[in-house]
Amino acid sequence: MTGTARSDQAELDTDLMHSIEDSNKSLASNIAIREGKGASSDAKELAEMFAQVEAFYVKRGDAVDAVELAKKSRALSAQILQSVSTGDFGAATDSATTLSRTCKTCHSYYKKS
Amino acid sequence: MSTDSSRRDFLLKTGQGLGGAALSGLIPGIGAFGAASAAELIDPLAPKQAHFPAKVKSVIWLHMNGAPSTLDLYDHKPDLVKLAGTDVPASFLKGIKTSTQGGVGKLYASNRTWKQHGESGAWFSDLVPSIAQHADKLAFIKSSMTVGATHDISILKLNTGDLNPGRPSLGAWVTYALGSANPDLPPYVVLYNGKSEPSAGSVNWSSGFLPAVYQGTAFRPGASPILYLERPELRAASQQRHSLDLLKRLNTLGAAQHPADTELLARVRSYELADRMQSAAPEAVDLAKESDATKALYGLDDPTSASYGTTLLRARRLVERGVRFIQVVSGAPDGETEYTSWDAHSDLEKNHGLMARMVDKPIGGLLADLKSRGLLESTLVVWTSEFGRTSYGQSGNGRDHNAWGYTQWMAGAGIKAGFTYGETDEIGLQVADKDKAVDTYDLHATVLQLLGLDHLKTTFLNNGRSERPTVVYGKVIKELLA
Repeated sequence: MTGTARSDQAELDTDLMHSIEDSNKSLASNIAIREGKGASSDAKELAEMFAQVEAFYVKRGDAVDAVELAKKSRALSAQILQSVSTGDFGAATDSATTLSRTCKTCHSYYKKS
Repeated sequence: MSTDSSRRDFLLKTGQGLGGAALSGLIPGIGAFGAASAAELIDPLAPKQAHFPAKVKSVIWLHMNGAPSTLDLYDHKPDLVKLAGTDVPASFLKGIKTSTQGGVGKLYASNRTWKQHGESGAWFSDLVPSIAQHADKLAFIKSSMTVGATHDISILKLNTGDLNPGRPSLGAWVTYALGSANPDLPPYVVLYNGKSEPSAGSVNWSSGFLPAVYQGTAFRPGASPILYLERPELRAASQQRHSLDLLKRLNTLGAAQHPADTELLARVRSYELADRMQSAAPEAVDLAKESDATKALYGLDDPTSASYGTTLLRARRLVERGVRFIQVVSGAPDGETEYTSWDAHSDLEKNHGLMARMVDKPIGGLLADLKSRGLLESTLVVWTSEFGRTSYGQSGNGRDHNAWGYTQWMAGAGIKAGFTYGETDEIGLQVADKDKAVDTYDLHATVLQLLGLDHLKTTFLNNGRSERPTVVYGKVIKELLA
């Protein structure tokens, strides 16, 4: 993982956001080609990174929506991990698409200045 | 094992066809197109099975270049009229980042009259009286949103789903997934009116990382639609035929010695396709046999709408000939140099007055013509743009770009006609309910669904990564489906 989120910063680390984007694309691909090991690894990484995002916004204290969306993303990452572990790639695809939409929703609230 | 079956086995195992990795079944989801047959390996445009029964055979993708103000065409906002001339209330600007040079202007209402049409009671302004006659054929998406950037970047997203070049356009994905329904014509054609190709360029009909055979073919306005397609004057048809026959014999001999060389076999086919297209393509766009009544229906009798009407009449002829995806980019009336797109940062009345007059009658004519010929039952018409325009004014009498809430519509096969999905806020600036926001990916997923394709299973392996038309997004808007 390359990105970090220091909660004393005013904005989230761009590297962390790029890492999330990369892992999300890799996840979509790994689910599509039913590469369980890779998909699990991506989902775990995403869960960890969303935990960092959540911690950042909790610390900032003025972004309830972002905290909720980060929590939702972390939960979706866990769901994907579960679906992949049981070989249900259809459910994993649905969760991954919802996860991507959640990313977009959050970005529409918190645009880069 | 026979020679044929071992050859097929070899090709399937090595996956060396054009788009070989995809066709060889290395990619999950591709199996839904059917196992790769020898014909598919030889011909990447061979018809392929959809994932489920298709409602739509052909798509006419009407791109309104420059971004019309749908607030002045379809999205009637009485509150905007009431508040015109005042500052935008802060509550309406929440969550968006405006970048207008000189700041956000006062709310602006143009000089429109509005009327409800059809049983659906859909609102239309006086700028689109012909389209209004087809109110009950349309399904509006009044909660469209996208990423607002420059026109070229947002147009790229509209067509490919990405802000950077390199991804295939929607038409290319369709061609890749379904193949061609007419071996004499390109399955994916781009039409435009005006003097030159659309400014955003051919990257908008590119095949991206898909094999180049799936890219769109731009048909120029005029009698000769494809550059360099015509036979040179000094060369007789029989001479060309003899040359091609000799070339084919020699290539076939070579192919027999190198059965795995599918590129050679594809080349043989491409020579033959070019030969057939020399007569098929000009005939497909030749309007000489169309009646005066049909030409008038498309507005060919009005200098303002004649060139755009010509592209739409050609689009109908291409639909009749089985072309799968026809991308029509609006240009400018012949001879017009002041207003060449819908991009009305100023003088919205003049700009939209001209642009609407250019497209309204042809689009109304197209819908009527498709309906009367029974083609609307198998054709999808999509009225789309890279973004919309703001409720607040710019330069006194224009509007800026608006990616946060605008209107697009679809009509035809598989569509819930006379229906409106989503809405913008009271002044038409943002999508009212964000859960109903329709982004480019959702529009693409819905179009693919109507063509019988699951956007999640329409995949291609590029540099080891499985790619799909909707990138990592996409949701079929089921409410729009009949």
